[in-house]
Amino acid sequence: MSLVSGPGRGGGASTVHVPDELKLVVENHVEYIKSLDTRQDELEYWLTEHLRLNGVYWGLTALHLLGHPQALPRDATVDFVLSCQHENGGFGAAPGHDAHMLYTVSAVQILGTVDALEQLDPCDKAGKEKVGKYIADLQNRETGSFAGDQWGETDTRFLYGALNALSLLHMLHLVDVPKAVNYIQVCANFDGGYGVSPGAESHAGQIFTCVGALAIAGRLDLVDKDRLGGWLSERQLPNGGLNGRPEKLEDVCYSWWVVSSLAMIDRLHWIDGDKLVQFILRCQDPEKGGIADRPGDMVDVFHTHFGIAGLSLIGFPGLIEVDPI
Amino acid sequence: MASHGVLRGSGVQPVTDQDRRREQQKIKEYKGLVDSVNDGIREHQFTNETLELTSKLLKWNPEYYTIWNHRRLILRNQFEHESLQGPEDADILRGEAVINIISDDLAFLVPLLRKFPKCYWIWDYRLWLLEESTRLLPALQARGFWQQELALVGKMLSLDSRNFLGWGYRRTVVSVLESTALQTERSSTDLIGQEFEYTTKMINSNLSNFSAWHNRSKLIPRLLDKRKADHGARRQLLDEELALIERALWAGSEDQSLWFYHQCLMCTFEPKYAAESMVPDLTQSERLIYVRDEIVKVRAMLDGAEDCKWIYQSLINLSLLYHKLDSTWFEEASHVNDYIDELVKLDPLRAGRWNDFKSQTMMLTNATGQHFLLQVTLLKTSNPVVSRLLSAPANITFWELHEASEACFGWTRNFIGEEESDFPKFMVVKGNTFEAERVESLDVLLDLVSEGGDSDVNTDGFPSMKYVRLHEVLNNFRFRENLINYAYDESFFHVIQVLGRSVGKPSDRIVCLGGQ
Ligand SMILES: [Zn+2]
Repeated sequence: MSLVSGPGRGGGASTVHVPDELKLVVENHVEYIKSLDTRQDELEYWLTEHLRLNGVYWGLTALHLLGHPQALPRDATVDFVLSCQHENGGFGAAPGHDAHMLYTVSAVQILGTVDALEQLDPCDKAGKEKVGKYIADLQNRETGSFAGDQWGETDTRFLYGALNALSLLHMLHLVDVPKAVNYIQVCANFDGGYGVSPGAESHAGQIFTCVGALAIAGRLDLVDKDRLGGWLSERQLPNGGLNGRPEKLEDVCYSWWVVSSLAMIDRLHWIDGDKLVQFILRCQDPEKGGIADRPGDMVDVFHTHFGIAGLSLIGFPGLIEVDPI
Repeated sequence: MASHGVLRGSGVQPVTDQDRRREQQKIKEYKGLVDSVNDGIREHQFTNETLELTSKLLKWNPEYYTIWNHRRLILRNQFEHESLQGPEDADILRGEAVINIISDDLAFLVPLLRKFPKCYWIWDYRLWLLEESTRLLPALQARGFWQQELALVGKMLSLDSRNFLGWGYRRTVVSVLESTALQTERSSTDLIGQEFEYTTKMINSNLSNFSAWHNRSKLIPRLLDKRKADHGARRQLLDEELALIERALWAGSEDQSLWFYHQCLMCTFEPKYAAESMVPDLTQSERLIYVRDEIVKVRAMLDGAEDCKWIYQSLINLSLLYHKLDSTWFEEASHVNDYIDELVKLDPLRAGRWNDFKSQTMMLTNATGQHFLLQVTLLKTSNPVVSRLLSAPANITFWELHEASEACFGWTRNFIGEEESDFPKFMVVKGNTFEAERVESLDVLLDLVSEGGDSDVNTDGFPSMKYVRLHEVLNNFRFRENLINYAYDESFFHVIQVLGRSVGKPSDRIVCLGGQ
């Protein structure tokens, strides 16, 4: 996902109806996100160090969508990102953490968002080419799949991440895109969805990665849109929230994965956007800011980001439009 | 940072000074442990002591993926070390040492998996360890390790039958056990068959297990290939699966897992998917027969479950499928619009989707050229019964039908200029209406909606009834097997019964075919 770069992308109907008592508490969310890096006196801060770079990405994107891109200091952000890079070009979750596809993608996305991709080049660290090569080397040239790191786990999340980051770097030519597309095809299921690997059950998060990868590759024609749209639309529960698989509980993070997948296949109108907006707004902590997985639960930056991105995609007024991919 | 299901305010926010001190103490302890592990690895101390430290840290925080990588480095080092030891009897000793290291580590992971069943990194690490066994040990011994995993993951799935990572792990283990690298003389068991039975067991204990149904759908083609099943055997399994899902749907027609599996089986008849399905070589007419049978079966489920949206949805999809196989008009097609209306009513969340259905089903519901074969019986208190057989185009109005049947009975009258209240009362009624005096008390089943509005015309002889067309009523699924009863001139009761439907050249003529 990236912020919308030009007109004509993203966005659903702009006629969202919300009861007056439900408001998006923009200022509180901004304050909440800004407070996140000042929590060094909490054990939780240290236990979640392996998510630090993702956390920066989630917080930063949410701030941009809320119209407060300056709320996090740009230079400090760029410095932190570059401090996570390894000699081989890959990025870890925080300084001293091993390089991995997931964090390398987050790093590229952050640098892309604050328009700092060029800063990969001039410094003494590895340049853009090295990042592209790190990602490209993780492709299995026989199957088209991507590993997460040198230890070799494959997952369609890594494939999507690779294509996303490489397209931001304008380096898609480094990998075998048709092979990657073939691999996604093998992960397709009869319900129209996609799994984490061939044979695996459909899952909204994995569907997002596969449809997103196909969108980047320009091969959305391969998706059985009606079948997949049907499965995805059944994720909406009577309370307006979305789940990730049949018979599971609703959760704000699926607002992004399901809704953006529906948007990519032009089936966003197959769910009730108003009801989803209301559900997300009920998941806010109205006083301290932040969004939780479900109403009344503890907030976190992950769900704050996906909640706001979901609202943006449905066309919630006052938010910056987001690109579903 | 990503919390699920944790109540707001339940977090351990330090309140008192003592709390704060305790929190700082814990942070110090944690950071100290992290530092000593990282230092050990940086200094290449791939010792048991460092291994112990990683164990301690991973038990505290299994999401710290870098520490799992450190653990891999330590083990790799120990494996290499073993392979350099002792010149004599080296193979056997080395094998034993590797077996011990792997066994110990697999055992270390079990309580962690129990406690953190949704942590990707633990499952990943465990797979890596098993792959090391394949790399380092003879097939028989490595196979032993992999084999044990089925029992472990079985236990995990009995605790949470939908664990996504657990099912994925199970599939990986099975595919490795099936791979050539692990084949020994003793490994001829029918693993795929066992897995198939496992899904049956899981489904029987809980029908709503989408994971189990999904796995079943993936196992079936492999099972058939493995058994080198011929056309007959494939069809037999298809028939068994159709019977299984039909029984399941009768038990739980609101259960979306079941309908997704039903949809998956229907792919067998879908030209686009048939090639990858369990019976790829059915003929077109065989597919048509299957689809027709399914329509009949699913329609039967409506009885008593008229508020179940899945049934309508399935009937629409089956109708579209039938149309794909044979584009001539068929009976079910005429109900599709009513099904969509039901869906919009029952499931307004997805109204956008149901309305999109309309453009798809337009070609199904076009009544042009369709004719009804009708028997109109005039009821009088005296015998014999007088009746007429008519062929009528589907798009004429009831008014026109009324006039025509009057003419057929020989009572031509000129209605022009008469009051509209002369228009008879039409009612769709259930069962035998041939007892005229009971007509008024019979159950009225259908609200006949006029073309212009939403008025009910079920009980009163609405003037607008004049403009209701035959197909709007006779093709409505609620009409099925029922009769239309209308009273005229107080004493003349007519019963209209649909004897058949046909498609011919578009024609607007009503023909009287006979009578008695
Ligand atoms: Zn979530």
